[in-house]
Amino acid sequence: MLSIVKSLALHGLQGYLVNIQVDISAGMPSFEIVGLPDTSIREAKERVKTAIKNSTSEFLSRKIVVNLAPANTKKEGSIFDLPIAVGILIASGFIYNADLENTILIGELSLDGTICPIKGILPICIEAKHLGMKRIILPKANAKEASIIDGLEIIAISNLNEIIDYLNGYFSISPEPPSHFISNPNSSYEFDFSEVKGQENVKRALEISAAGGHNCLLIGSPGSGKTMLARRLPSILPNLTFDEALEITKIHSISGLLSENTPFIFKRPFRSPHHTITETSLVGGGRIPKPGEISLAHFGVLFLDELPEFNKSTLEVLRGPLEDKMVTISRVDFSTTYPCNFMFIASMNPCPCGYYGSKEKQCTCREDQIQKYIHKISGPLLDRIDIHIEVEGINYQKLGNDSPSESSSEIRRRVNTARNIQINRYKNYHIFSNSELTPKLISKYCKLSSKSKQVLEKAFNQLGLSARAYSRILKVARTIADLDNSKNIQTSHLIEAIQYRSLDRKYWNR
Amino acid sequence: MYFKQVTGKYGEELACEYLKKLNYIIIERNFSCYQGEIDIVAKDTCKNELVFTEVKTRTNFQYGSPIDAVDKNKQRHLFKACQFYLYKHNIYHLFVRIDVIEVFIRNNIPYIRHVKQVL
Repeated sequence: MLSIVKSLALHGLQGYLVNIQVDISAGMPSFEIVGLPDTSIREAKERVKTAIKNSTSEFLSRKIVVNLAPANTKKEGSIFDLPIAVGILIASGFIYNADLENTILIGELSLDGTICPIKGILPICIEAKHLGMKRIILPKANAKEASIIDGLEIIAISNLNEIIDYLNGYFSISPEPPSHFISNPNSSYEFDFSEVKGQENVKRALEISAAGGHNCLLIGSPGSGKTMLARRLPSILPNLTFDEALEITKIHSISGLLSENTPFIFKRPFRSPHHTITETSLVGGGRIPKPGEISLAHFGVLFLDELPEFNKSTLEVLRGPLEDKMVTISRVDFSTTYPCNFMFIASMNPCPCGYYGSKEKQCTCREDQIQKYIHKISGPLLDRIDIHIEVEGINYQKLGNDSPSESSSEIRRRVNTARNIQINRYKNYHIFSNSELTPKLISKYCKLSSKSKQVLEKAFNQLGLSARAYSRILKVARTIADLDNSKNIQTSHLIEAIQYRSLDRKYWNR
Repeated sequence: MYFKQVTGKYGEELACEYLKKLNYIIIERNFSCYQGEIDIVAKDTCKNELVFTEVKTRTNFQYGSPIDAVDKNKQRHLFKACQFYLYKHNIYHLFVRIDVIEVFIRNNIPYIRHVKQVL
């Protein structure tokens, strides 16, 4: 007897339909799985065999051939355990007249027949809906994650007996109720900007970068509060839109970072890898490429503390992704593209001792030491950072001052307003912030008055700016104007944007 | 005959009786070929399966339980012999099962354990 059950496999973020064909015939008993399975699928044999044996039905001594079509694509993972088991049960007659025409089955089996959660359920559900499937049968632990997708009947099951009875019609399982998306639910943050005394200029710069999704570099002496400020950045990030949250959750889903308690990502991610990170773990990789830190920081923040301590080649791999907002990883088995539209925040000292250009202490470094240290950050990388800001040490009067500074929620309110202006303005272009503007959109939305043009021309020539810096200044100016709720970019907005680019002259091009 | 062979023969008799009681039809006994030997070939009438049975008889547990004696090597011989049996008799339409029946004799009382689907 032959049975065909449908399942889905993931190829990066894309899914494709896999037909699981099970044939049972007469002859010497055997159990073969064909269709380029990897080791984890080969091992499914034992799991399926034992799980069926330990359920209410029986694993018959038969010649069983399982084919995973399309047979020319390599398949991996334990997600096919459940469809293989159901296919065998149908072919051996324990499940009868089950209508699985528009149904996707997915799940990993344990030996006692319990169905274990799997990775990447959200992209699978999205793809299933895309392919016109009506129903998806999945592990109970994954149900919450899947329920964000509407228009798909989600059947959550916890063990093999349940699915046998369900498909035979002995009892019915009501579909998982759809859950609703709430951005930043009861948003509480560990840190708040009100804890930071002074540093108004840096707060302003971070507010601008949060509002427009711009990259930001903090330079300052040790103990001036660079890391403290950057750690408080998540508390002022704008709320997520549903589309953004869906993409973030997709990436976290295939990385297996979601749990039953956090089935959906409602907050912007904040990733701060240690400086010993390798290139591969930063951009993603592996035999079957997995998303790296930059993709996990998609629509969120990638914070690199102590930037010069990072391996130089590790930093240079950021060049492409910072510009393209996506990264294509190629390996022998296949290549895949992951989105990585992140805000790049970095902090660094200006020299090895940390006090070059500082007011409070004399720098003790030699000129060549400073040069060597500072040039670990290459020009091209620096050019991709829109906002450079100096974090200066704080004096005692300010530190001892008890009057509270502005709290994160107030800043976040302004950031949200500015971000909503941007989302409304670009709603036809599938972009969410000023940092994603294409050259065409820059010329459309970043118009300058003639006076502003003169200022920019002067700055361009005097500061020796690149063409990229020019467009980035315009983007930042656009964000500043949005924060000011101004329809056009005023000269004052432009000047503020330009002054955020002037630091590289102080340190790099001396 | 030696004691071991007598014991084995006696165990096979007991196994046959047991299978008959379960409504199995005994088709052949001691089918032997180059590949190995099959103790009992029977037909499970309720499941409509051809059952090849290996019988192991023991009178003590000094060398482990009887089924432990059916190791990988023995299984391979059994499997090959079964394949040959099917080939020789042109059987292509029947489901096949390979069982082991353990017979343990103590104080002249036999204990039978039927292990289904060993392969």
